[in-house]
Amino acid sequence: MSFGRARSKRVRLWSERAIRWTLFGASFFSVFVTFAILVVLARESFLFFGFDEVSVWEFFATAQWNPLLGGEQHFGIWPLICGTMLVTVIAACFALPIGLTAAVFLSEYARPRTRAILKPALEVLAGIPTVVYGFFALTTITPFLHSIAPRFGNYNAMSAGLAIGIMILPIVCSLSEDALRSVPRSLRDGAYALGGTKFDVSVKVVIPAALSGIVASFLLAMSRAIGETMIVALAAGGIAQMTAEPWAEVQTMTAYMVQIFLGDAPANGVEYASSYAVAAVLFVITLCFTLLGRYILKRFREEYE
Amino acid sequence: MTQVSLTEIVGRGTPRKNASRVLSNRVFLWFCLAGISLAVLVLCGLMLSIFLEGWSTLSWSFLDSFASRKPAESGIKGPLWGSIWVCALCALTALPLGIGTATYLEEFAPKNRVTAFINLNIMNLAGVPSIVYGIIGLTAFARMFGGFGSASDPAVLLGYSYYNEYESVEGDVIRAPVTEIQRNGVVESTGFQATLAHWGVWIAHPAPALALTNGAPIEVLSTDDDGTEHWQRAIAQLEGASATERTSDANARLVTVTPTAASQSTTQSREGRWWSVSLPFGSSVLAGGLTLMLVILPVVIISSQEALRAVPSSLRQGALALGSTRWQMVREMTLPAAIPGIMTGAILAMSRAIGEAAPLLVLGGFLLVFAVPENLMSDFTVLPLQIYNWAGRPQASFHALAAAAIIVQLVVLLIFNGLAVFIRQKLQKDLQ
Amino acid sequence: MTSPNSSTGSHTHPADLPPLAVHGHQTRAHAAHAPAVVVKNFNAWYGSFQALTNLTLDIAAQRVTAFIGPSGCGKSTFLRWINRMNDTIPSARAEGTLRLRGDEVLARDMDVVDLRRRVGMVFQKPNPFPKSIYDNVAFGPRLHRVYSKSDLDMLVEQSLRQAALWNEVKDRLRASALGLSGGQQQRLCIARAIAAGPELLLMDEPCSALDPKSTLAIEELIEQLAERYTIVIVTHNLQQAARVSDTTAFFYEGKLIEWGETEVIFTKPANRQTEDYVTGRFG
Repeated sequence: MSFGRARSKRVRLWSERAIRWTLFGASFFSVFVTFAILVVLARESFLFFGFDEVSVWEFFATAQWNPLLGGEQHFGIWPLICGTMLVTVIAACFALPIGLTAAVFLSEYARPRTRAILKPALEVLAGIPTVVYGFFALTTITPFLHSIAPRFGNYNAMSAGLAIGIMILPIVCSLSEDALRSVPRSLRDGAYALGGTKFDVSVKVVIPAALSGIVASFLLAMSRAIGETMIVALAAGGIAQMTAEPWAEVQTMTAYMVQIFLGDAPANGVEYASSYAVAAVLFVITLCFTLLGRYILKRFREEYE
Repeated sequence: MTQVSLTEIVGRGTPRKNASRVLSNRVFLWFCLAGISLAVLVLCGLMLSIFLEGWSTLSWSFLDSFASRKPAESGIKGPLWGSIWVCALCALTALPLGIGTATYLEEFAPKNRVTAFINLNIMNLAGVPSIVYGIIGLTAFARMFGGFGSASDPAVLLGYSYYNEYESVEGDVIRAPVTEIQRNGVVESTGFQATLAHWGVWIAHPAPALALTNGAPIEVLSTDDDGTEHWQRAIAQLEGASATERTSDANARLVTVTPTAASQSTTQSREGRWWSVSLPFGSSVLAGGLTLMLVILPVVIISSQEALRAVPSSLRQGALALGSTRWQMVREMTLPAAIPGIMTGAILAMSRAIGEAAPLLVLGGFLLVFAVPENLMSDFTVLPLQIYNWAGRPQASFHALAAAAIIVQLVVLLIFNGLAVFIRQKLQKDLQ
Repeated sequence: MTSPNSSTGSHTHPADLPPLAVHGHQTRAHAAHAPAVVVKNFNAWYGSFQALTNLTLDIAAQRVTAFIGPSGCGKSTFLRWINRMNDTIPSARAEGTLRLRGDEVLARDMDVVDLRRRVGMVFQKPNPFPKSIYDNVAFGPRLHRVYSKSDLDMLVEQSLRQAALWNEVKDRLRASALGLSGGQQQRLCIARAIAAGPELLLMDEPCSALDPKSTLAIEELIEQLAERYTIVIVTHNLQQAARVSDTTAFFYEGKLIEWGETEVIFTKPANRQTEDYVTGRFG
């Protein structure tokens, strides 16, 4: 004797299959997005190099970027890359040391309660819209820099770089702290048992053991800095030039794109198409950083699992 | 083997000074303390400077008025509603897609190369700068690769009503639904209201004069006491004819038209419902929502994956051992257990979406918006874009507006984060 | 900073004794043994929980002392007080007398860094640093002293020889220590501990994470090391305690129930609980 009616096996099988394929479709969407990015950037860049005004050689091998202002147009990407790197390096010089020492403090020194307050606070800070940092750069950092050295004008690489540094600080700190904390306690015990001071244990054992995780966090933060848009659009200025002077006005790749899409250039013109080529270069650079970071992080994880 | 004893060799080294070891330890602590203090200090400075600058500008009227060229009258009603629309659309698309993807990858996918590739791919998507997503959104959503005409002249319209407009003797604008849609002189679709999909360039056929007097549901553009315009039902009568008997509808307005005006439509118009869609999307809230979906999708997937991974496998095995299928296991065991983590990740992803400006800047540029979005195709701006615009102006009064808008933005952000923490704790407690 | 010998006063450093030809209990039992560690009325707490109550015992120099007892009896806790590793646990505190060669371990002005140099420790799970084999062994010496390259090379070689690992790793000193097998890693950790020149070696269940073959290798090593060092070993394994130790102390619920010559403890214990435990009737 049996109670209840057996559920149809066939219905169950088919609904199971349908759900499986639906979910597979969802996950395939992300592959499709990547594909779309590659197609769009490749196609439009191809169109850009089809214009008479520009050649692949000029784009990658010359260092004059002058697409909009009157006179002869030049499309050599290096000034934009230079501007991006200058701002990124300033940001890294600010954020990496501070982020790392703050992470060491949180993981090695801070009491659990201090940590329980600071860590979520850092995560909130990582979520602050970047335009807020841009505003801060423009209204606070720039005037401050100007008061120190008048050569810092209304727009300069330093101000944007510092703001980006503040922006990536929580990222560096949070990810490095994760890496430091994932170093097994037994290693710390081992070093303390040999008569190490806190300094010895942190600097000679824990940091080297977490190094790949720390480097990965640096790379991921740098990749965020390179792709950052709103801060440089507000604070860095709009002159594409090859310079390493922190007080100089520079244009980054992202800032150039904003300039184009804000409507300074007629659609379907060569200037407009150039923004796609710049986007493609930006995409490749950040992809390299991300891939390298993930690779290092993966190796790091394998070491302790 | 040497015959020297270990202790003898140990003793050969020069002892390090204890004082210097203590000092290096102390200096290192101060160094780390300085690091964290500087970090906290800078971020406090940021908050304080914004708070001081924006606090006095913050008021109810700031929240409830549109942007204006006069700083004193400016507000953030437009961007606030724009943000709400765009983020709602973003959440509606990104969350099902993201959670579905994570569920597939964690619970269903075989551990093979395809899965590894999809995982790697998602990691990389998380590292793509948001402005690149903006370009993809612009090309794929707003323009649709140029394959459907331009946003001002879309090739495909779904869910719209078409009207012919006329002028009454009194100077009012009257409209009547189009009864036929023609292309190149051939009637393509008929019906009292051609609301179905309409392919090709729309050429409205002038409606016959009868439409106005023959009981067609005509409407007249009326102005309310407070100045807002709306379409009001109307009954038309031809000029010079004796007054027709009013119908039972007391609200309908009586309008007079000349025979020529009744047979000659001045313009054609279309009106959408909230769900009407035209292809390409143009710089609409729909395109904005979908673009932001691209930005946060990897974040949603990764955080959901982590939440699912944290579910103990004993739960899964328990369910499978009772004879449930994979989906039943996921639905009954894994997803409920992972929901707190997924929700937390989703809320944090949404707080990222609210703050994104770059992709939307690329998508539509900056617009001064003087209306709350009404449908999927409405123009919009969002809070971060409005902040960008105000911050970029040289006048200090606009900076104060930007600071005030930032305060609003941060409050929203804080609410989201608080919600995330609350849900994490509450649901975790409930599960236990 | 004290030099390694000054703190031991007139005592001869154990590692300076000439290597002994004959192994085993008898040889060592004949030597005169001043206690290396003297414990009197020792109490320890975690927060309000009393982990150890009124311990009193001597740990003889150059002998192997085993701590046995069921899980949670406090034997590891006590071990970690001898080199003050419990300082890293905020709620842990202790009172009483615990003297290492006359120096009060619990004294406020005790330099824990120097204490831990004098007291080496080997942990339950092998915990080599993710560095090369060479750097692992040289880690301790480098912390405390500055060596010439040749001295350091010699020190590393000697330590690895004493840990019976030299022949297996001499061709790959620069390779990562994480590539060694579990047993090799544990011997490396022993080499690392003795390279700093300790007077006392603490071993906290050093074989519990190892396979039987590696366990045997470590036990043989302990026997050899006992000629030069004072060793305290915590173990769950009664046979191991019987095999390697000269003195055994039985802990139960935070109290030291009985301690004495291993043979006596295992064959004619004075206490009923001890007897139940060593005969496996413990309930």
